[in-house]
Amino acid sequence: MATGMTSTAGGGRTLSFFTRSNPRPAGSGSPPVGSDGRRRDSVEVHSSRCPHCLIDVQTLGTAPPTICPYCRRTMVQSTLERTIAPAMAPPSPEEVKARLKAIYHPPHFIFGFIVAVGAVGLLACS
Amino acid sequence: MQLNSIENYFYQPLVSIYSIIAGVFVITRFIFAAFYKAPAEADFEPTLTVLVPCFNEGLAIRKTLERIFSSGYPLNKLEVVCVNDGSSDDSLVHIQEAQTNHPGLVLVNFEKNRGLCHGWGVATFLARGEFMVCVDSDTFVFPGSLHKLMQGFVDPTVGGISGHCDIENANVNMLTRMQDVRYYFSYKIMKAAESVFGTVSCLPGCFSAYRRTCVLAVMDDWINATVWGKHGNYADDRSLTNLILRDYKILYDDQALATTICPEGWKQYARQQSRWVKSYLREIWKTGKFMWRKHPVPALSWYAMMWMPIVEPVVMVQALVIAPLQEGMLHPSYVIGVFTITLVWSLHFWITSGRRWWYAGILFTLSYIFFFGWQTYWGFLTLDGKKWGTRG
Repeated sequence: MATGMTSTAGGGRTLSFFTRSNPRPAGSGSPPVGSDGRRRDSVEVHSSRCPHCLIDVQTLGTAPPTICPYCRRTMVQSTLERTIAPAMAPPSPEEVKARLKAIYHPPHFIFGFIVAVGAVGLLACS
Repeated sequence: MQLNSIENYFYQPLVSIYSIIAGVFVITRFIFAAFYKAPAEADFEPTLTVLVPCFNEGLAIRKTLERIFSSGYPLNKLEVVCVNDGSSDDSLVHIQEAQTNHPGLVLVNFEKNRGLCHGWGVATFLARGEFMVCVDSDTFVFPGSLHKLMQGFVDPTVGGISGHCDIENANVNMLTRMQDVRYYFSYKIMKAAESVFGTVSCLPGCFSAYRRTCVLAVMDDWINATVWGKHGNYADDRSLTNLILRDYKILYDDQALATTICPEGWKQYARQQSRWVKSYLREIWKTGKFMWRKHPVPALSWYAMMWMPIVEPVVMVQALVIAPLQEGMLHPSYVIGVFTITLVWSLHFWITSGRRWWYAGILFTLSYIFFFGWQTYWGFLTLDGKKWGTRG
């Protein structure tokens, strides 16, 4: 985590952005924690706003942009305190399996073969 | 007897020639698709930015974002840029709530609606990943799919990869079942056949990956696309695919799975189809300019297919109106051809997916013949329309 990440494509460029700015290790849905390791109630959100283009970029773990992508003027920086929302539980492996089964449950090969032969026969007769 | 049959077959040459070409086209799609192989696992996990444009999506946007973060892609390599494009509902609140749980989420808020291409454009500029995945705000990614979608990029000549999208709300009514059958065919047969030659013609905005350097290289051409010399929000997934396909291969990965919400009402569906047909019409000429440089098989297929939606309504009138008036019967080759093709891809849907509403494919064909096929001409007349589309 502490060192820059070497890209595996794009000419061996070194991108340190992700490892430098993302303070959390892998793991999904867990809210940010304070330096004492305890869960925090709120987080500081960095906001960059361009009053001319009416565009606002809000970041939490990364540095916000300083230049408006449209007019190239300097964006107005501010910090907002935001209450951490209850985390949504990620789908369990069983739920994912059930979803997949609902979408893909092909019939037995023999059944498919019979349907295909029947359809060809029907068309040949017509 | 045989000579009579041949004579009868060509009594309306346009219809007959069209039927033959369309039949050969569809049959060859099935043959090519049989040779399709998904990109092999290469344990490739580059830095990745997922772009999620959002307009009036409500709570669904939160679910979409949560599914992305729980997809299993390493969080230290994953960034998500969600663009709220001037939503008038509570979408912004839901994105902000998701952000408090996921520091890797960047929120871009357009205080007024700018259009899909601006959302993609700004998100691309802000993105830090080497690769980008575009996910619609109502698309739900399956665990492992982001990882799988990256594997084809091991080949440096690949500029984009389409994932596979099924319909989340497929079994709601006949319209959604119909779209489910149609989506399945367009992915499992059409895209699979194109992918064999690396010439997938459209990376759907609902779930597709891009090499970011390729997008940046064509960004100006893409954002500033014109129609009849006028500027507007014409940049969409098909136009971006076209610009990348000029110089790179584009693949399809049927093992990178996601589901998306499709329109449940006919009015919304008609608006979506209108947007798609306009996009198709804007882009076919551009594709035609470079397609001849690709492999001869997909090039020939493209030039054979590109004029079909334009000629189809004329053929339909000849086969279903003029022929009965002149001969007292429907044009047999057209009717049998349409029925056969519909039956083949509908049954393929049933046999390979197990979903029982294969018959909805017949409804799709009928709706196309009697209504949506005609949108092509309406599309020509309103080619410079600038509405977002489905939710506009």
